Amino acid sequence: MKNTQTPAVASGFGLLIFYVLWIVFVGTFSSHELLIGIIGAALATAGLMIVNIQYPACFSPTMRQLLLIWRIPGYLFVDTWGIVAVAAKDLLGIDPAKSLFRVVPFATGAKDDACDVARRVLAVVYTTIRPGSIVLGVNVSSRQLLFHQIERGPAPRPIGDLGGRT
Amino acid sequence: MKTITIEALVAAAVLITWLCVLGMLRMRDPFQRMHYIAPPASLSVLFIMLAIFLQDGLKPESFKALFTALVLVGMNTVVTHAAARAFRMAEAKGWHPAKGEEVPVKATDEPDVAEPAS
Amino acid sequence: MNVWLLASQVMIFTLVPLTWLCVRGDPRHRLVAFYMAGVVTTLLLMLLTMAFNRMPLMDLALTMALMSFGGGIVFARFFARHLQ
Repeated sequence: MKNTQTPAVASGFGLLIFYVLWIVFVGTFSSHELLIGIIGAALATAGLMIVNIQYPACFSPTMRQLLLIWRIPGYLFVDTWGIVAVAAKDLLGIDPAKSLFRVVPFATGAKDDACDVARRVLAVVYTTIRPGSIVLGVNVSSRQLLFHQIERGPAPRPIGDLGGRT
Repeated sequence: MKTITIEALVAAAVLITWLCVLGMLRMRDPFQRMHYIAPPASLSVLFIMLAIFLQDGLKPESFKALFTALVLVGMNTVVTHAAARAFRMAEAKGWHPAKGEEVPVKATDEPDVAEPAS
Repeated sequence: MNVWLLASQVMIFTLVPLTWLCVRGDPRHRLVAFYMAGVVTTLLLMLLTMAFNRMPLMDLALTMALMSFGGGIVFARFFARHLQ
């Protein structure tokens, strides 16, 4: 998804989304709400445009990277079971909880390149959204990703999919 | 059938929340405890949202519940990451980040050995 | 009594151990318990919306979710910069 949209198209898209959100939140199609919604959506779009000019978003993921989100629901179930089992084993004295910090090599790319930023951000999001792992940070200088795991296991798959060398 | 599904979803949401609170009580390390925030903030809220949609259908409140669920899932990820990084930075007293460095790496952190990804 | 009310009555008691965690121990432990309490409160508000059939409570749940995020980020930054 390259950043080739013109500002007009992006603003129109933003206006539409804000207007739909307004209608959802007010929960009515009465004429005065529809009219005020246009004004509200226009103000929000103007704010978004000003922020984007001042601080342009450096984030350009590919569709393939975004579609990796389909695996997340499965991870949520598996990891929830995993962390509950860790707590249960610790409580019953079977196996005390032994979490660990791990450092993996990660193809971080350039610090300011939009595609590399998107890859790093998605690696952090997809890994941290899982209950079993939390990313602490990605060091571009040393090309490493530091994360915490509730119990020892293979490195989370999103890291490998998005640039980790596991 | 619909009533049973709604009740099962709500019961599952409450059960997951309780198990995670008890798990959090059991853990001794703040990093370990942070893992137990994720299931209520993702699974429980999604189950409640689905139950609301089943009960109320396509009403504005259902979409507000959907938006609340999305906010909770997304924002919990961000806050967990930010807090974990903050805790690590607080532990590394006197750490000054070099250019391109985001988080201090300690000697006790385990370097990765090549394993198949899960 | 409906399933939503029963669920909210069961879930509200999770705030007891979380409050206990919030008032004792290391600041990091307290902060984590505080985050969890914010999540639980949001879930409770969603359940209570359906229990009492008071739809404006859903706005409260959404606001709680958004404000928890804002507060969480502020606390995390404060932690990193000032509590070393």
